[in-house]
Amino acid sequence: MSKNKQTWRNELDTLLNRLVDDELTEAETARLNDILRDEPEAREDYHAFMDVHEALAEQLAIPDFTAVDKGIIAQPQPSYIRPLLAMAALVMIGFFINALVNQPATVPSTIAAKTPKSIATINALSGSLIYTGDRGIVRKDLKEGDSLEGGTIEGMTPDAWFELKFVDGSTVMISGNSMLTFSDDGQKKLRLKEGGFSANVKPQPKDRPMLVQTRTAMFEVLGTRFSVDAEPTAATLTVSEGRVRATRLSDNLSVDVPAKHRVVASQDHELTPKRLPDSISIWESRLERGSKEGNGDWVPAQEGEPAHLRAIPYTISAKLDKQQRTIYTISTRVSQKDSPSVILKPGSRIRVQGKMDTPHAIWFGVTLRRPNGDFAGHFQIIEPVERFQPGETFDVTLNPEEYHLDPSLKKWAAGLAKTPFDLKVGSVWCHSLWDSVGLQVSKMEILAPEKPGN
Amino acid sequence: MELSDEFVLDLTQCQQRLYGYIFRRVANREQAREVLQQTNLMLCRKANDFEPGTNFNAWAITVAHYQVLSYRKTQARDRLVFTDEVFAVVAEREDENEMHEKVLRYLRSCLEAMSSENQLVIKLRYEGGFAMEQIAMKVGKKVGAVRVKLHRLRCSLRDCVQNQLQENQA
Repeated sequence: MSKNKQTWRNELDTLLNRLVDDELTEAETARLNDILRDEPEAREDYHAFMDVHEALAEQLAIPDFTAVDKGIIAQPQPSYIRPLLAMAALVMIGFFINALVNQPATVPSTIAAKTPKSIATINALSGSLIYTGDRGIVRKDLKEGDSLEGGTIEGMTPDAWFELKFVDGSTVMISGNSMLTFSDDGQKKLRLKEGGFSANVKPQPKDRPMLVQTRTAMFEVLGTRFSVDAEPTAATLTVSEGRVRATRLSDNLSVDVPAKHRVVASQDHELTPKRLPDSISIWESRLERGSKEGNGDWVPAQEGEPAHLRAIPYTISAKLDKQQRTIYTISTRVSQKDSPSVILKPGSRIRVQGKMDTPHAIWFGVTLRRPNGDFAGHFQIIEPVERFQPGETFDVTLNPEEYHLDPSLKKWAAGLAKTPFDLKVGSVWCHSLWDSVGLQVSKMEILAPEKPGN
Repeated sequence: MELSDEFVLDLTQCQQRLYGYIFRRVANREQAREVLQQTNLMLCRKANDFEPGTNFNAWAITVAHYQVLSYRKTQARDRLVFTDEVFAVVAEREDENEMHEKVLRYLRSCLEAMSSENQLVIKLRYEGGFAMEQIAMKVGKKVGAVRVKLHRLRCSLRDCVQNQLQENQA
């Protein structure tokens, strides 16, 4: 290779790397143009480099469909697109007026039945979610701005999050592994089968309050902020503003729950509202108590091995990832029932003990909620493969100050927490991406900040 | 705008390819996303023109090509990375689809042959989407060192893929 060729080739490598990292300066842009103009071989090199850059993005990147959303859902457009859209709109309005003038006096019932009424739109979402519509249509390709006609939304992974806005402006939000059915035929009815949700409800008609049902309780809401956590045998209602009427289904006993109070509706709890307890900053999982303590494949203690959760797979829909890759995930609930909220303080540590068959990079994270129950974000850290040994137990202590907001939430970052501190910890979780590596966890802990001098 | 499920599926699946096609012609991430958005709008508007059973990707790429040309006309020259002369020679490549499939195949084995430390840097950049500063924090190195490493890794992956392409052509 001639000296000249070697020189431009080295220079081109640097320029192309800076190009794909969005770091090209004006002078470098000019130099790149010169090389590509003058050296035919450089053009081949350019394409060879871009082939690999594109293939890496296609093979490794978690798909981002923002541009599809913008194509399918109306969004603000560059100025020169607007006249085109205006023309298209005029044509559509023309068709609409024509249809109005020519439509039959009554709409046949079969046609009416085929056009379900939208009752809410998706405000924000992330993670893996499945929506089942009124007519049994299953969708995994939900997007911000989608109109929904009522149905069931299910969070499939600990990092799932979904915010729904009803036509009257009331919002409900689920996070983590939760399942919520919603409808609105003049009266909003929600059924939380499992998991947690929070709501900010605009004033409802007095004779048609929002009804929230779980297996064990019914809550009537006229307009307030609250959250509900449901398990098969108990439902915990936390009211942050206003007042909610709670009815235990087993004996039809009702109580009014005022702001900053909580009630647990279950057979083994007195149905009495209690003031929210002070938060604590120490917690540990109790997996020996059984499978309800977390989300994963629960294995009881045996042969010297403690009770643990094994990671369970969740395969991403082909619509979101054409390679249909799989996340292997474990989570444990932290703040729950009538126990005090657990919060992270600067200086807190998160400790996770477990094992995996094949070393792999692991994503460790926490799901956080605001005091009123609203979702505040997922914060996470990636621990490299070097920290783990095949088949040996691991014991990692993580510093939440090094956690960062889940990149898939960056679109909504402005409305989410900036740091993981002083917020309620909903769950602690970990997962491996794409490979089943036999990940299992026997204990998760939140350790209190060390006192100065210790 | 009434789009069939099949159309939305095809459109969704070809996003990465479309972005790649556009990016290598506009050479700027933000502009590529802008053109991709316009391309998606145009594809949705022209959905009825697409004949089911024909090659969706090829049709979408053709639409993207015209969107890139149209975008260049509307932008001030100092916003564009490539001059007209360079754009003309860069944009003329024709065998991208075929090459892309081959590159994807060889890239997998090249990635597997890398040390786990190097794989981590690549994964943090492409899988995690992390900025250089964040990668540096995670691997405990300085930003400059991470930048150099990532540059070297990309070039070594390119060389590895090129070698495999040549070996399999021979």
